[in-house]
Amino acid sequence: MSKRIPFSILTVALVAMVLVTMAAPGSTGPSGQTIWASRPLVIGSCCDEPKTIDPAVTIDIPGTRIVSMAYEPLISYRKGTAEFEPVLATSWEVSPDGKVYTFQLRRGVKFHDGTSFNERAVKVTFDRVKAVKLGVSFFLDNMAEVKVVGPMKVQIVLTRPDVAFLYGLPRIKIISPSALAKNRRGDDWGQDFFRSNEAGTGPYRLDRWDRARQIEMVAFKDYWRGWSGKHIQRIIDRFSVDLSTKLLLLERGEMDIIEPIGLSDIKRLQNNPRVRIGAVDVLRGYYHTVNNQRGPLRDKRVRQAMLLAFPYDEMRQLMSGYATPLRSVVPSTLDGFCTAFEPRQDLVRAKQLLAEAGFPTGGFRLTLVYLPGIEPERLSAQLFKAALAELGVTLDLQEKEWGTLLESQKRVDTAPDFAALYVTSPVPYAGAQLFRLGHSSIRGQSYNWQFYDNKEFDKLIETAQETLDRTRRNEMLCRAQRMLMDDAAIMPIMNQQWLDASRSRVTGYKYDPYAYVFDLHAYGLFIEGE
Amino acid sequence: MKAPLLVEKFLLLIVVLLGMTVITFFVARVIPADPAHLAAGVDATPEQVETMRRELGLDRPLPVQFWNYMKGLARGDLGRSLATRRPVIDDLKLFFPATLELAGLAIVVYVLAGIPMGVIAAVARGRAADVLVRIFSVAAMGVPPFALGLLLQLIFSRWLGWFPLEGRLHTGIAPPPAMTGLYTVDSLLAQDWVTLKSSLIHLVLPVATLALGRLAVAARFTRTSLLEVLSKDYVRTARAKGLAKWVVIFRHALPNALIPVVTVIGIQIGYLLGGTVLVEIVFSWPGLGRYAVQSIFNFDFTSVIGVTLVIATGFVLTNIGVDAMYRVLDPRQRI
Amino acid sequence: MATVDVTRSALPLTPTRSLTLRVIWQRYGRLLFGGMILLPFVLFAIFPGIFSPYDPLKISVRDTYAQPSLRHPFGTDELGRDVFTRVVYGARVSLTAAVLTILAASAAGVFLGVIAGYWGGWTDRIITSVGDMVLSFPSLILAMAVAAALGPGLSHSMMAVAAVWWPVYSRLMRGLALHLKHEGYVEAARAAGGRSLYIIRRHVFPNSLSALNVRISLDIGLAVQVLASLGFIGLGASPPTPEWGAMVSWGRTYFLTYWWIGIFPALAIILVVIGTSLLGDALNDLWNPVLGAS
Repeated sequence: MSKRIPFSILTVALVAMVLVTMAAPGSTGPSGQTIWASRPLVIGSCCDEPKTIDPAVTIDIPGTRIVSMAYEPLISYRKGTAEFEPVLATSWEVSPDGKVYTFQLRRGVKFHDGTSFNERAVKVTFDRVKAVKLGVSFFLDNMAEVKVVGPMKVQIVLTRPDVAFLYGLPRIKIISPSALAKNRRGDDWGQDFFRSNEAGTGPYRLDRWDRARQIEMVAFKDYWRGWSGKHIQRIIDRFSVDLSTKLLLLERGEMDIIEPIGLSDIKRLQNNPRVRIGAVDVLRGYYHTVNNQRGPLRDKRVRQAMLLAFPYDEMRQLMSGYATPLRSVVPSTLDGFCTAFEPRQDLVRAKQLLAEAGFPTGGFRLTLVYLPGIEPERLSAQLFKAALAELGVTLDLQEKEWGTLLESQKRVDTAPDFAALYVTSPVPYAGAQLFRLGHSSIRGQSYNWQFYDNKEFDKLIETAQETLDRTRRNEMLCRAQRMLMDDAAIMPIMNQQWLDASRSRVTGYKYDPYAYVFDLHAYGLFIEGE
Repeated sequence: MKAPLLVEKFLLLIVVLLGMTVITFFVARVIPADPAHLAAGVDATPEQVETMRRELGLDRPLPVQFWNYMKGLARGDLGRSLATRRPVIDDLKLFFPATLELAGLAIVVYVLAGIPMGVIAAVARGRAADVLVRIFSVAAMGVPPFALGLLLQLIFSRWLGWFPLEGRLHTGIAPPPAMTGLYTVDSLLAQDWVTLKSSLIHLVLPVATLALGRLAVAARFTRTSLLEVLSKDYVRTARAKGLAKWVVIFRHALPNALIPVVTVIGIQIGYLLGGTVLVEIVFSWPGLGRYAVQSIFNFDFTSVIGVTLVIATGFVLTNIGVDAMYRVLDPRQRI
Repeated sequence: MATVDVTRSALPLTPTRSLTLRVIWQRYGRLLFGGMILLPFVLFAIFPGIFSPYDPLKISVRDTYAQPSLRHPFGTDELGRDVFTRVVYGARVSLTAAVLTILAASAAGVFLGVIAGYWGGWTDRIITSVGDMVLSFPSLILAMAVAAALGPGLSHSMMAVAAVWWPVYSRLMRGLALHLKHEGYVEAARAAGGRSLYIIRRHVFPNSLSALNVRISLDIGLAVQVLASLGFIGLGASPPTPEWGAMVSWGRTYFLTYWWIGIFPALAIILVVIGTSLLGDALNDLWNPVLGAS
């Protein structure tokens, strides 16, 4: 008889253990089963390995892709739209004067290092971003302070009302304060540590970094959303591979997503049933910037002639249809866009304008700088050169490295007459793009390469930024756009879509134009068997 | 006799290194580009650029920067890469084995293949084999490595599919536990045959590209030098004494003929290094050459200097080594 | 039983040897072959218009990426330009650049080498050390660094290559000058009170010409290769200039799909280098039998 009791206790214990294991969070999530994809997701990155994966510092594609998997912000853009959705904050409200934002934070979230997410993490993160003063810190330029006002409740106070602040909030990713505390050296705010390690709350954590080759991320089993449903367990981000090689690897099935692809590759991939081409309208415009303060370009009529000289239709044809006309200084995807320009080539009118300005047969030389390795830039440069030749204007093309170009743009006399440039707005707000392209305070810097100096324009966009009423704000922005285009201060060439290619077996993947700069939304991806 | 010469060589090495460092340091600063801005990122605001400039130490006057760098150099610290902010030494340690594996294997191949080819050509002088070898020599000698590499890639990888296009390993395969950094050696040590096979397959095309061009030179030189030796009196004496042809060649002629060949191989190493840069670009091989080119285009001066120093040192050391071998091989020198 | 033939290939024919095909090949074959390979490219460089009706720079949106065909034997590139035409015009760019570069390098190198060899002393030491330092470094890498410092552009890469190449000539000339310094007629001239410059001009220089010529002709081919390599890395001509190395680099983006854009310029480079190699080799054997083959 004494032997039976231990046996039944054993059974009870065993059953209890099984029940407890099944109920443990992470393995199956709040409800339902997890279905893991049978293979890792392999991404062919555009570029070389990230210089840093510190969420406060990195603003390039390789870095932000990793950050988007490992970290989360308070609020985020609902995938592929400009609307907000709660992530680490469950709700928020703005004070009537527009200067105080109060956030209610989510409970039950864990960092990868095991500690819990709370109000302190938010304060530490924001203070850190401001202190480090790199990368995403400019989104917090108008932030005065972050206050903890209760358990799981924080307030962010601005120096003045700023509509761009909320737009920028999804860029600030929350880090683990204890990871920071453990790894600070002197006053570096942990930059050395966060350069190659992560401590976030995101669905994936960093498993292995094979220098110069690839980064492997693996699913974080205690992720707060849980893993019920179909998910990918391992994601490999492979760097420094040539585009042509990536294409072949994609076709062979050795890569799942490659970004971005070139125009010439579309023809080849179109007919492959296993490959899907993605084309997304992004927050980016492609321009020829114009040096408004040099030589013949100082005359508005000459600038207008330049605008009329470019063969916009031919350019879009060369883009195989993956570009749409850019009808203003800013792309139509930005909130506040209004039509301010009609892209149309008219050489006759251009010649007339040049004659009015005193150059009936042209006879002057201009330079255009573009970057190596970017196909559309080379194409538009050569199209422009050929077109200007018909007006008797000689356009010298120069290929310059980014660093040299940046440096030369700082002063009017060293800056080229034109530069081929893509400018992406960091937030889906037209005012941000207008500021970068035309505000007088940043003449010669990113990206007022126009040396545009118009106080009326400045005032318009500054006031707009503080105006909470959307209609009034957009009306001001529209006036600003038309002002810039009337002055022919810049040449909007086209809206180029973002092109990438993926295997059709990958479900749920679409490039997110509202990410800054690349958000894989890895949690929603899955690979169907093949 | 030997010692002062060696000392002189080492002094030359130091002078060369110092010269290169000074030149690169100052020339690099003169370039119209701002590494702080590049490091801060495309969208950086002016304040952010200044923050980065302070962090990189670029706000100090030039002589101060140089002095700090030299102090670090004396300690063995090569500074931090302006682009990645990692210590340059770490980057160099990472990329050096890849280049070593590639170049090392190429040297082995072209010695093992070039010398026999030269011997055959010398022996079969004037006949079909000789002519073939000489045609091949001329054909392969001038082909720039990048052109040859692309051709091989097109034919053997893209069209025939026999070899991979790029990289050191297949995507799904993890590198072997790092002992030497040479994947072939490390996977052998770990008895990981799958990784070994993957790394060898990835080495075929890049090594072939590198070796083929230089092979011709080794073959030609061996041929000429062997022919010259074979015309010497002591060889004719040996033949007259009735020794078999092959014994004469291998026991007497070849060792003496190899001396100048060793010198040639030493000189070839210079071209090999240049060729490695091109091959690394074509085959996306993560080695020093590729790193150097990327650093140059990133205006990452500390990295450029670091790579330059390593290459210069390696080059001069190899030359010293070749010299020493020369002395060992040539009995006349030992007297 | 075959004997090992120990006679040198370049010995002049003696009456007892028969004029076999083999001998003809050894003497003239390479010359002929090399010349035949090079001739079309030289013609391309001088009269490009004859070989192609197309304009190498004209953009034609409708004809992009055409495969090689009768109309476009080498196909067209991403801007609809005929690749064959661009290779033809590229001969002019690449060959001229190579010739100019080597001329500059040899001029500087010869000048410095003669001074070093003839005068000796400190001048010699300095020139030789600097030259050795430059030579002690892998040439492509050094050229790369110089070209990177100067910035992109064909003229910059030409300067870089010349800067790296001159020691080859200074070393050669120095050796020759030293050798000739002690020749009988030179010593006689000096004893008779002749001025150094005159002696150099009249005696030293002409006697070095044959060696120089061989070196130069070999080097032109190598220079084409080095300039193309720099162009490939991105340090050469900028578009739309059809420089072969740069064309290969631009064509590489489309390499696996539209392979013709990059392969044909690469083949052109290969052929030119082979041609000049053969030629230089043959000239070497013909003019310098004393100095031995290769």
